[in-house]
Amino acid sequence: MKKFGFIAFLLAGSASVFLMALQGREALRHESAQSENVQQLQSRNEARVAELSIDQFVAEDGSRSSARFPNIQLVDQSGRKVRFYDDVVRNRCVCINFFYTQCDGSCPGTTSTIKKLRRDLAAQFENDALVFISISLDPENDQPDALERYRKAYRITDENELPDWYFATGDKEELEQLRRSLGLYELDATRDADKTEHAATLTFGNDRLNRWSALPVGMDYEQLKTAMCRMMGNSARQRYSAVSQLRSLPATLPGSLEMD
Amino acid sequence: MRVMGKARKTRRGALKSGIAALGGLMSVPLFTGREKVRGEVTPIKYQKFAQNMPVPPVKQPVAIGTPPWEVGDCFHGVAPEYFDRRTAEDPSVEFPQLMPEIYYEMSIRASMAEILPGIKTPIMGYDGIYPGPTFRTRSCQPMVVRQHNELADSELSTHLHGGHNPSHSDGYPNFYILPGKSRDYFYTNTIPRLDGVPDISECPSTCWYHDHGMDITAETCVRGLSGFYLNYDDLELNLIGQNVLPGDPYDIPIVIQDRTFNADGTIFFDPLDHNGYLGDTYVVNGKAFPKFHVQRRKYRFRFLNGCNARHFELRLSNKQQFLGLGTDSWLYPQAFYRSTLLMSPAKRADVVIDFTNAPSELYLENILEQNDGRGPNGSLSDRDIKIPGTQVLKFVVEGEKRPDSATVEEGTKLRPHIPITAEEVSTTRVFEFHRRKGAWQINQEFFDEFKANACPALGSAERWILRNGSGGWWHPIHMHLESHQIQKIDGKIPPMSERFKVDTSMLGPNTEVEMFMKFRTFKGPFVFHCHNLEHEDMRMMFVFDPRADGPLKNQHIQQFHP
Repeated sequence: MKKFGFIAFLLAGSASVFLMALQGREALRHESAQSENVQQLQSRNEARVAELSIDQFVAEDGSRSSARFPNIQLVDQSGRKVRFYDDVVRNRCVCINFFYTQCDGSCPGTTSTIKKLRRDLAAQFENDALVFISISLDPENDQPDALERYRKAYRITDENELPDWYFATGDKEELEQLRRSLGLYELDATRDADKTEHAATLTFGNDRLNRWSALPVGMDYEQLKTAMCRMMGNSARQRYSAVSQLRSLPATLPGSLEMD
Repeated sequence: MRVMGKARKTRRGALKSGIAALGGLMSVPLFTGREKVRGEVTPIKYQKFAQNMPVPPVKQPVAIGTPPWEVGDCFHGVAPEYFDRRTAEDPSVEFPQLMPEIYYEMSIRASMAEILPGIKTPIMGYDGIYPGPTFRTRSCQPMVVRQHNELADSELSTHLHGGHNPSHSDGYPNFYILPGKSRDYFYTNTIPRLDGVPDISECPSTCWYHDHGMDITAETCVRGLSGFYLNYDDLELNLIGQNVLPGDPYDIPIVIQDRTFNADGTIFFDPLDHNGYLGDTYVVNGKAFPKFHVQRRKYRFRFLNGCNARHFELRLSNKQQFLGLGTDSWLYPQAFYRSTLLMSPAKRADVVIDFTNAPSELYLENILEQNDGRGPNGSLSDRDIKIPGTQVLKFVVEGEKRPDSATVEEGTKLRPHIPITAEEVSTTRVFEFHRRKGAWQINQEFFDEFKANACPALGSAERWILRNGSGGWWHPIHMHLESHQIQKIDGKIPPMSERFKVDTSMLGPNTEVEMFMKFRTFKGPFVFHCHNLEHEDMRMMFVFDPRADGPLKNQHIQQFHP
């Protein structure tokens, strides 16, 4: 009897081990099914966002902010004539700044930042949709040859199919008009006339979606780049890939890390 | 954006109403900021003070308890405080409420509204209406509002202005509800504690909610994303129950906003104007220049300046005084008369108007002169006043005197005020606001989403000095999380209406405001910023992050829920 009892115990034990193993496999299978499900749900949502984005292209020309830009003629560093709206801005993602070649204040930093942005954003955007333009505040001195020298000094080239980057000059009055239409002016007239205090900001936007923003060039580079992707992007992927990266970080950051 | 340019068909309607208009036409525009280009003056003619002012509907809850969230759809979950129902300040204290939360759902979507008579205007609306529905809530009653972002191009983040809520649910600018997604906002409606017991002097009354999304707040707010959140506690309900304060339906929230319209009925907005949006049309509770029929009795109005940049100084055309009950979210210790109401953007004025002996018609007027986004003409203490001002809202007083009118009068005791004393203050911080090279800076730094610029110790009180260094600009500075108590404005005792608890300080040109503030219950990050929304969008914003130890140096923010 005792022996039989022992065997029964053994049998029961192995059966329970077997059952546990089965349950474990079942649980694993369940888990993987669930994660597949999660992936599906996420992609469904991404699809929904993409769908919503396409719905956006209905903005009528009349209500776009760019309808207020003067479509003035500019000359770029190679002497090429371009119309500001027709040839540069229309239906594109644009990043605009004002500068002058002799500026020894904020411009050198701005130009270097844009150079970096141009390279980094090229990966996010299709090249033909993204364009950079730096417009001169000092057209008398900044003729195309001066702009070309400036480009060379900063080693700005067009290799690797980088987005277009115009360095533009033009008629002084017209450029002033353009600057004001972009909101880059001071309400205080004396301050506005002081060229050394000119706006060190980047104005960027998506003309087709009528989304525009302006941020200081001196802010955190990664955050500036994230904001540009979000405001200019045509799809959820272009806009929020940086946000998704943030999401993958732990929600609690090390609190003891001192920043400065 | 989607909400733009869909109302072309109604132009004929606009013309019709223009022909039908008799007197009181829109005349000289108030707006002279940027060069006048197409679209900056409302070209639509209509009769003023012909539409009735609506009262936004009260938001109804859906359930008791929060349903599970769909992974992928509402992947933000809810605030960590939702699971661990203890305060960060004192982990031994559970939120005072043991009851389950009330659950609301709200969609944020594009829709149409009739703001000008007979004309359909595309808007962005909470629940598709403008202004959004009014929440009526109880202190200590927790709630969850699941918000669905159905706007294609807008990364939203809803801020409950004047509330005391977890960081996750406070509308930190990059704690987004992305397009097509949802987010659960956990409003604990907690009362901060004083010596371990709830401090009833801190119970808020008149809060409001609005969008706070990074870089696009000015536009989403102009297109309609704002609404009221009125909170009640036993003290206030007793005052209403005993007919001291007017209760429903004589307790009415009124949001005043300025807008300019395009010829097609769409709202004019220029995302490239960074000085501050000014409109030429006053829109009151979603109607342009409306009228409101009242009985001969006392009414309680919660006026909200919902503009981006326009400041108000409101008065009544018959020179009758307002009986002031509170500024911003909080009631005064006792009621007192105010002849005018000076309000920067985001400020509330909780007042009683007694129509018992009023003429049959009177107007609410704004007498403050303002020509551009910088702020009103003149300085904070010496403002340019124009009398008579611009008529904003017409009251039509009807019927006989009502015997059951509320009993509140000058000196009626309302909510006790417990001042923060200088002895309690542990740290002094100075914040200087500058404009440099076309951008805003605070203490010569740019806003950093991940950097806490002040880390006060949880439970402590601090002295903050706000200094406005930029010539001619007005900056209404709003502090999230808690009320603050203004001690001095330019070294002088503040006017009565700003002397108790406020959440937005008017920082006039070259002004210095000294204030005391406590940091309780929740760990950060929270922002404080200029409530001129164009300035806010250009990141005139800083982060404070209350935490247990309160280090003096700048830190990474403690937690984030993008």
